[in-house]
Amino acid sequence: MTTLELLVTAAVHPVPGIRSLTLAAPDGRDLPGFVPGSHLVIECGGRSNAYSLTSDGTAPTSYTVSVLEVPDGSGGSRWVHRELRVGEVVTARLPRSLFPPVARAAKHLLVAGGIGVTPIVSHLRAARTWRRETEVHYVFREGRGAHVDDVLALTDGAAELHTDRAEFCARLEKALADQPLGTHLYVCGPAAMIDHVLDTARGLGWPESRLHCERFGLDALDPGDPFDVTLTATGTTVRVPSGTSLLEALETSGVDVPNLCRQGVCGECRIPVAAGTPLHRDLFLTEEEKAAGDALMACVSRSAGPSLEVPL
Amino acid sequence: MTLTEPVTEVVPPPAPSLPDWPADPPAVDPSATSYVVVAVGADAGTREVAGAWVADAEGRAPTTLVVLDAVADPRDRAELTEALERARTGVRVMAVGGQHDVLAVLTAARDAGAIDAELAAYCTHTDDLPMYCAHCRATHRVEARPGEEVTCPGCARVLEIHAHFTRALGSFLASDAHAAGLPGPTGARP
Ligand SMILES: Cc1cc2nc3c(=O)[nH]c(=O)nc-3n(C[C@H](O)[C@H](O)[C@H](O)COP(=O)(O)OP(=O)(O)OC[C@H]3O[C@@H](n4cnc5c(N)ncnc54)[C@H](O)[C@@H]3O)c2cc1C
Ligand code: FES
Repeated sequence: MTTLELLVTAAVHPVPGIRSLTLAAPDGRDLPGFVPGSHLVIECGGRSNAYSLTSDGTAPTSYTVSVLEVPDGSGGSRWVHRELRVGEVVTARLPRSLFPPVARAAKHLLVAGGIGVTPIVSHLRAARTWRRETEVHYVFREGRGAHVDDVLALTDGAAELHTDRAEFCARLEKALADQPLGTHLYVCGPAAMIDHVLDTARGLGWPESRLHCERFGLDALDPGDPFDVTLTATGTTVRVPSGTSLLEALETSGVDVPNLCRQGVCGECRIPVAAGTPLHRDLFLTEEEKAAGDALMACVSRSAGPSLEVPL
Repeated sequence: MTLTEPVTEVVPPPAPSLPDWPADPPAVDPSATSYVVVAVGADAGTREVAGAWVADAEGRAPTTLVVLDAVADPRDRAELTEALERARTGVRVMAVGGQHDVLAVLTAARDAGAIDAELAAYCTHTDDLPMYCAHCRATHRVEARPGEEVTCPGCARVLEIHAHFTRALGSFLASDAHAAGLPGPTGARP
């Protein structure tokens, strides 16, 4: 898998708790372009975390990302805030797109919560370029809103900003009930907010294919049911207990699977599936790849049935 | 490097080459927040289906009934367009009539942004269809079925109607029944 070496050329704290980085090729060359809503998986001092690209994806010479410090997390965002310095080089995967705009949409209704504004900024840049109609609702904690200026500039001030949750929910319900035919909804933010927005839309008759969301984490990954995995190359069967990942179980039995993030975002631990039905829990595979059922991400995904067969 | 229009998109499943009509009028989708029922033509079957849909839909959510004589009529067309423009996401559009008219209503609804999950249709008959002539490059209503030969109402050529419904045109494709193939992109032969 191709990686990029990226030089940190600038870093700012636009609002408390958020650090925005500008990244460029060390030799100043053009960087790979990307579809709006794409993210980079960056190695952050032992962690590999995904960060949405907030810059323009057309012929970029630099990338920007904005990172919220999660003080009690595993340390990736803390490292970006406290360790990483301008002039240092980070390693990243090529931009990956799981949250693209639908070009045929008559209108794009964009809903952002907190740091979830980052892919929405990218959508708004593309919407401006392609003159797409948008409507934006952005809810954030007073004084903590990242990219508020960008969102306002990219919508000529039309974006609706909310700092009161109840008021946001009421406004959202009205907005979802009053969109022209052909509108697509995009939502990114805390898991509970995404669920609320999607449930409200479903309740208002929105078909699934009009709903698009990006989740920043797998906060409630349950331990899962135990299952058996048969390695067809050797004929051995390995038990994967509840609470142990498939990746860990394979490692324990001496099977090396390349891996990096161990949180379902980088794509490194993808293994083929020969039989059985995967229970996908990653944030890497596309919906189509998940539906195909012929591969899974061993670090987070499991088996939907009692057993799986993998050609390892 | 230059990027063109982003290409990663939700790609709809390939359209079936022939419309697959339900044997009975489909049920009203209870998850909608409004309905637009479009009835084209005056025959009793159309009126009956539209009436049953409206009776059911009205009890669930605001319902608009649009009754048209012919989709091709400019006044009728304007009424349909206006109803679709007024419609909000959450709507379900339900069309009933002869095959030609139902396909025309579905095409208009798709052009207005509707997707399959928002559309339901029932054909009272399949005696006619919208046919796109590959030579005069226009869509005509003809009383014929796929596989049959007709004289093009536009250019008077004898055409074979192919068993292929083209979503983008909202029509069945037809071409010169006596030529070897379709005309090339440079257009019609004399
Ligand atoms: C596709 C994708 C795009 C992302 N884009 C961004 C971005 O643009 N900016 C950004 O700051 N983060 C983004 N994230 C989240 C980011 O990858 C990390 O999860 C986050 O920085 C926390 O990492 P950590 O190593 O500090 O702690 P972790 O231990 O990885 O995280 C701690 C816990 O917090 C959860 N969490 C993740 N993000 C948040 C959050 N914003 N607020 C509260 N809890 C959270 C995680 O699921 C985890 O359970 C994105 C994630 C994904 C999958
Ligand atoms: S190790 Fe990154 S997706 Fe599994």
